[in-house]
Amino acid sequence: MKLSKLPWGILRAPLLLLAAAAALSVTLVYFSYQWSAASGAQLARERAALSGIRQKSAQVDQEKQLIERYRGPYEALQRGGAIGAEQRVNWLDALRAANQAVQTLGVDYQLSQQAASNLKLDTAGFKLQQTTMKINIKLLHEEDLQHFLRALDAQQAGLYLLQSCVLSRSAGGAFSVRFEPKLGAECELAWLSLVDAAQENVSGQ
Amino acid sequence: MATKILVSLTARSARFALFERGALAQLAGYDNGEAAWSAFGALLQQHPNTPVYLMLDTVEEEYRTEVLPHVRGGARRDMLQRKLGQLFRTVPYRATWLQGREQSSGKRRDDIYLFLALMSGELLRPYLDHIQRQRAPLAGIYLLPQVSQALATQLKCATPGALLVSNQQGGLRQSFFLHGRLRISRLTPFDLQGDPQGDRDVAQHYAEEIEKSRLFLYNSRLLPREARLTVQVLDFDNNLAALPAQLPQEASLGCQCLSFEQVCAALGSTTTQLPRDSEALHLYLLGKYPPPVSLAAAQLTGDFTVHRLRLGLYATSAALVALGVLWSGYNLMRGYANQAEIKSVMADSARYRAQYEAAARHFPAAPVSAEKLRRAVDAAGQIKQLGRTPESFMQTVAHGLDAFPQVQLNRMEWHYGAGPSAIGAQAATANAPWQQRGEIEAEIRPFTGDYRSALTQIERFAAALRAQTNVAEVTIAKLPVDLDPSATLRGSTQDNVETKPGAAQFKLNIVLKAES
Repeated sequence: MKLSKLPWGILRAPLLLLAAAAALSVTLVYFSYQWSAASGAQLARERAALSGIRQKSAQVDQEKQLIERYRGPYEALQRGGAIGAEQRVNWLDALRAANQAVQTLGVDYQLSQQAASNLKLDTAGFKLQQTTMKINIKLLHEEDLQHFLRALDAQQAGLYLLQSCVLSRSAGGAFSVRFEPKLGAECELAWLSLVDAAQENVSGQ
Repeated sequence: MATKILVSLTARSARFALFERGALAQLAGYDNGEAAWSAFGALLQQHPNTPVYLMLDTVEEEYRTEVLPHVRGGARRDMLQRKLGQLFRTVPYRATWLQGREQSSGKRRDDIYLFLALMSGELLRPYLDHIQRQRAPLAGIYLLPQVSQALATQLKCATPGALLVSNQQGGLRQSFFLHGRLRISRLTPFDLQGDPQGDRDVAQHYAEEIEKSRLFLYNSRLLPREARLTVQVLDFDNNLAALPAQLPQEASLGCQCLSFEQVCAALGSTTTQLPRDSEALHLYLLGKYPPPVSLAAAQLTGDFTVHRLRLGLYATSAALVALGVLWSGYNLMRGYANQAEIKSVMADSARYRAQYEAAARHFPAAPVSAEKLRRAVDAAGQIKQLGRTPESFMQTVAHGLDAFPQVQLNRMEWHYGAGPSAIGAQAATANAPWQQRGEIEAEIRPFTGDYRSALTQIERFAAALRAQTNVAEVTIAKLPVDLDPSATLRGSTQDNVETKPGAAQFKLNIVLKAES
């Protein structure tokens, strides 16, 4: 029997019923699946949480030892400004102190804005922030640069990495017995701070 | 099971029944006339949209067995239509019934077809008028022997040939089956009351008619003479016990008089399910085993096609809902199982958390978690470990200068980082080695204008630097004189180079080896 010859009037009711049945089935399956999938996902999360807390509970002695071992160094880093908000005053104090210790002929500095560091280290839970400092040092002798850097390190004002230094001879002239700079050093160092990501998120909200 | 309206027609009588839940119901018989037609119309009105199965037991029938090549699809359809046209050109009720393939080995195994026809539709007309008027779905029109094939199959005759004999309303019906498939049938009047020899023995009459049929089978070569034939007689009244003795006593001929109980057993039914007359038995067989082939043309069974389509749509709807319910039930079951497990897992988590918190009360006070303490301190340690000053680079250069007093250093540039440049310029990776590198600018003093000597000294100076163990690479970036053939070079040999400081300037790039 051809489609055009089918009595569609007679078939309308069963076709409508078929459409309704299909819609009902799809709806039932869709919502029940969504609910089942959501509960499955929640179960997976709860299992992960259980696994975590179970592991944590099993390692409670180890955790205690970790706290005892690392609390001191951590607090020292915190005091030194390596952990938490950056301590620019500490850095400037350290510069001044190093300058005085080495008796250079003056240090000019310039600090950039703090930004996320691109240094790749395993610091889970902490963000590594970086502030670039450019310093210009007037020196009598090239060894003064070594002395200055050692003196700066001795201040323990925070974590930093020296990135570059350019030593250049000052413009020559007639021989002079005056106490004047013979060398110029232009260095760039990165002050690094570990910022607790959780605390930053809380303060950011 | 769906209700069916079953109709059995003979020239003299009409019987109607419903087929419900595997049994006959409302069985009624009439003389084939106005009363029967009215009753049929009323039955159709009482049961609208119920398929109608019409069965005829009449002498106006024709059977032809043909062996045709085994083909499929459109070729088979065309071949059968052609053959039907040849055999029954003007007959409206005709059909082709595939009855198996030739069994002989070595042959092509052609198809065996039975061509059937009802030569006159007069008997049907009043009923078809009612059916068309009420748009009742006509399932099919069948000849009684077609329906008998189901019985012959169930009786499982031991011999290849079986002659099923029954006393019907239309007369004595004899249908021949070869290997359980209908080949030919014959209806002869059987009215002893109207017969001048009415007192004649029933069994003798049966025997005479059976013998005529047997001879016809042999003569028409439908059955080889040496083949065994079993005559199966429906003896529901148990009055044919003498029949086997009246048949020729030949080895190739056997006779079974089948009682009502034997037929019930063969059909797997109880005696209460089946009617105790062969007419109604065929109605039952028509309801339970409707033949696959109908004599009705497609335009007569159009409403039945629609009826089946509707039933199919309803069944599909029901199946869809059932599937949806089952599937969603499975989903819900999984969901509830998950919920139950979530509760259990949460309870476990709470228990472990309580244990942990109880133990953690004895921990030393810490600003952050133990893991964070460790990570922060380790990271700070790594940064400190990475830290370098230009001291070793300057020492390397100083060692080189010790052996070359005429080389005067003007400028020194030092960088430290991962990869080729400083950490501020490029993303440092954890795997890339951190290296010190730099550039020195120097000149040969005193310089007398002897570039060859100056170049030699610069080369030797670079080689001396290169020879140091902590140096990875030394390259000359600039020479006092440009030796590049593509560059333009200008100067004067009269120049007083002593008055031109910087005339022998050069640049070296130095890379120190990475420290492990």
